[in-house]
Amino acid sequence: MNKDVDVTESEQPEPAAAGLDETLAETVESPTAEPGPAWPSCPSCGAEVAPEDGYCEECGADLLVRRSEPVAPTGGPCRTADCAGESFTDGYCDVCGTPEPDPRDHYERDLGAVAGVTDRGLRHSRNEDDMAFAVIGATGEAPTVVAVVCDGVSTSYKPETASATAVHTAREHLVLALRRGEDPQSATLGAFEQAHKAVVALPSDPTDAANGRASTMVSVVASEHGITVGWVGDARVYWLDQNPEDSLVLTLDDSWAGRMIADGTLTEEEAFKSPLAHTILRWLGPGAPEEPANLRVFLPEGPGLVLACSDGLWNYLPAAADLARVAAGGFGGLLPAASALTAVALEGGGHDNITAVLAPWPTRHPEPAGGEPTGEISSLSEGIQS
Amino acid sequence: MSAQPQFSVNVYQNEYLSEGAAEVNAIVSVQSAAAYGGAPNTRAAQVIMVDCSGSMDYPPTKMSAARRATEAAIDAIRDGVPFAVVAGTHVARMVFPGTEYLVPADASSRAAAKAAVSRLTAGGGTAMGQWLALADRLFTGHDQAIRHAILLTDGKDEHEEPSDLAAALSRCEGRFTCDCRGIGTDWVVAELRRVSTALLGTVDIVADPTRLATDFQQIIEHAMGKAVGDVRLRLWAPQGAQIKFVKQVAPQIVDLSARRAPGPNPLTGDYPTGAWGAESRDYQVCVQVRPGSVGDEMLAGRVSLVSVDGAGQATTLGQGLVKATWSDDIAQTGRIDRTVADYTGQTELADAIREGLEARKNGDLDTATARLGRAVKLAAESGNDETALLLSKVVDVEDPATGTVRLKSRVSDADEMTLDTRSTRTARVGKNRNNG
Repeated sequence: MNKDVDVTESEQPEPAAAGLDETLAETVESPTAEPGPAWPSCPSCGAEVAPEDGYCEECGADLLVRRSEPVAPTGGPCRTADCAGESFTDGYCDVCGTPEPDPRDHYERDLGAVAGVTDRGLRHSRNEDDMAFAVIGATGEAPTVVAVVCDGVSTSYKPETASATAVHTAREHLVLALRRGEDPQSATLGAFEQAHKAVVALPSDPTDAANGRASTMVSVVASEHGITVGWVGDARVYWLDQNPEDSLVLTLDDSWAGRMIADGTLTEEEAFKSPLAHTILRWLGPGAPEEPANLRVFLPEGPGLVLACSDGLWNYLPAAADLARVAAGGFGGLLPAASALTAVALEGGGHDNITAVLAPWPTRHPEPAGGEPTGEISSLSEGIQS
Repeated sequence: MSAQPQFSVNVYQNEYLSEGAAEVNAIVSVQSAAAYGGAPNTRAAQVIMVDCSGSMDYPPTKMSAARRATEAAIDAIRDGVPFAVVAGTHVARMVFPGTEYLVPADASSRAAAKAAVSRLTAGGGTAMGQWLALADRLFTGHDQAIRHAILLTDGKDEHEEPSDLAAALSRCEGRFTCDCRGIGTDWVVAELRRVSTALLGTVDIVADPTRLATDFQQIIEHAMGKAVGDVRLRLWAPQGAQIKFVKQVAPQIVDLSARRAPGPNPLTGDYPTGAWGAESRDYQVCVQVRPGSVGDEMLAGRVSLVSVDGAGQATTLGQGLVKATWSDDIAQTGRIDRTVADYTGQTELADAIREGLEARKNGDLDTATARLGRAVKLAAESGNDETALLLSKVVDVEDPATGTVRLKSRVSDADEMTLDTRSTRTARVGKNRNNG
C-alpha cells in the first residue's frame, strides 16, 4: 500500500506523455478549470435558475440530483437484420418469430460522473441484470455518486422484475436519504432493506407459490469522504487503481465459493472448480436470510475508478488488476471503458448477463463544455487503442 | 350466440435444438370440453346414403342389415334435426322424403322414413360421386347447421370414372363431413378412405352385418354430440419456414398437409378439422425453420383452433406455441419428447402396414415380409395390442422383438381389409410420461 501512495503522488503533479495519464490530468483539473454557469436552466421545465438554487422555483424539480433513466417499455422493430417486422404477438415477431426486442437486452447510461452498460450476453434469452445510478450535488463541489447493480437469480420467478425493482428502489432510497443528510452507511443499509421489501412485495409464481422472486445487489456511494459499498450476493465492487497492480475487490461474494475462500477451506482456484461455486447464499426477496447487508467503507489513497458489476463480467476477468487495465481508458471517458469491459465478457463467450458501472474517484462533474458525449468517446477510443 | 365449447391446447416438444438443426417437431394436443347440454341447442343436419346396388343381395343379409341399420340411425337422430335418406346405385335416388329436401325429425317423420327404408330393394350399379352430389344439394340452405352424412357401400365405385368421384369430392370438401362404412369384402379400402379423408370422417369395415345397426346408431349419436362445426387448425410459421407436414395423429392418422388453405395473412394457413364435440385430438406439426445459433430463440409456429361461422367470421377457440431454442447443452438438446416419439412411431407403424399390404397385393413378397415384420416390431414396442392382434391374422409372428415374421399363405379378405382400415387408428399417448 505504501508503494501505491508513492506512485499516485509522484505521477499526479506532472502530466506525462502517455494517453492515460494525459486524460487523467484533464479530469482532475476540469471541475475548477471552467467555473462558468453549469445550470443556466432547469432540466425539467427549462426555467432560468441560479447556480446556488437547490430546487427550481418554477416547477420544484430537484436541481441537485440527476438520475439515470430506466429503459423504455418497448423495444422498437424486430432485431433480426433482414426482417421488416414491426408488430409482435405473444412476445414474438409476427414475421420471423424472433423474440420481441427487449430494451433491456442492451442499454447504456452516462451521467458524466458515472456511466454503465448492461447487456444480455450471448447465451441467455433475457437480461436479468439491471442498473440505476444518480449524481447528487451542485457544480463547483465534488458530487456524490450513487450506483446500484442487481443480478436477478436465474432460477427464481421472473428474475428480471426482481432486479429492476431492486435497483430503482435502492437508488431512490439512497438519493433521498443522502439528500436528507443521512450518512452513507445507514443510507446503504436502508436501501437494502427497502429493496428487499420491494422484491418480497412482488407477486410470486402463480403456479408455484414457493418460487418467489430473488436478486443479488451491490451499491456504491462515492463522495469526497470515500467509497461506501453495500452488497448481498455475488455481484462485486472493485477499486480499479490508477496503478492497476494496486486494484482490489471491495466485496466478498455471498456464494459457496466466496465462503470457502473466506474461511480458508479452499483456494480460489479450487473453490471455483466446484459445481457449487456460484450457489448464492444471500439474496433479496422471499426466504432471504434476515441480516443487514454487507458493508465496507474504503478511502482510496489516490485517484482511480469504482466498478460495480455482475458476475457475468467478473467470471471472465476476476482479477482486479486485469479489470483495471481494460478500464484504463475510463479515466477520460467512462462509457467507452464500461463498454470495453462488457466487450471482454462477450468475446469470452457471454455466458451470463453482463453489467458494468464505472465512476471515477475523486468524484467529478462532467466538464460543462464536454456535455456532448461524442467528443469524449472519440478521444477516448483512440486512448484505448493506443 | 350459442355456447362455444372450451378448447384447451397443449404443446409437447423438445424445443431445444443443437446448433445448425432446423427441424421442429411438436405434438399439439387439443381437448374440447363441449358444455353438456350445449350440443342439443346446436343446429345439425343429417343425410344417410345407403348402397342399394344389386350386389347388396349377395348375400341378402347385407340388404336387410342395411335396412335395420338405417332404421336405427333414424331413431338416433335428435328431435328437430332435418334429415333425409338416399338410395345409392349408379344414380342417387331419394328414399325419404320423396323430393330433394330435409325433413325435421319427429315421431311421424321418423315413422314415415323407416317405412320407406323397409321397402328398399337392391338393384343397379355403384356411382358414389352421384350419391355425394345429391347429399351436397340436400344440405343447401343449412349453412348454419353442422352437416353430417353416412355413406354405406358394399362395392367398388365402378359405374363412373375415378375423376367423377374426385370432382364430387372436391365440391363436397368443407361442405359436410362423412363417415364411411364398407360392408362385406368387395369394396376397396383405398377408395372409401379417399372419401372419408376428404370429408373429414372415419372409415371402417363392417365384416359382420349384424353389427351394422349398433355402428350406425353410434355414428349418429357421435354426430349429434358435435357442438361446433367448421373448426380449422390455423398454423402460423415464420417467414422463410417450410411446413413439412401437418397430421392428425389421434384418434387416427390423417395427413392434412395438402389441405392447407390460405389464412388471414401469407404466413398463415388453415387446415380443416371438421366439427367438434367433447373430444380430444392430437396433431403433429413439423416445421423447417432457418437454423439459429446457440442462444437464439424463435417462435417456430403458432397453432390456433378457430371456428368459422357462415359469414366467414373466425373465432379463436384455443392456441399453443411451438418454439425453438438453440443450445449447446446436450442434456437439453438430447432429450427425447416421449409424446413426439410415440406418435412418430405410430405413424411409421401405419405406413409399414399400408406398404406391406400393398406389396403383398402386388406379389412383392420380400418387401411385404420386411414391412409387415417392421410393423409387428413397432406394434410390440409401442404396446399397440389391437394392431398387433390384427397383424397376427396376416403374418405368423416368430419374434415380435426383432420383427421376424412369415406371410400367412391363406389370409381372409376380411382380416386383410380390417388391418388395412384400422392401421391408421392410434393408441392415445399418455402425456404424463414426459415427466417420468
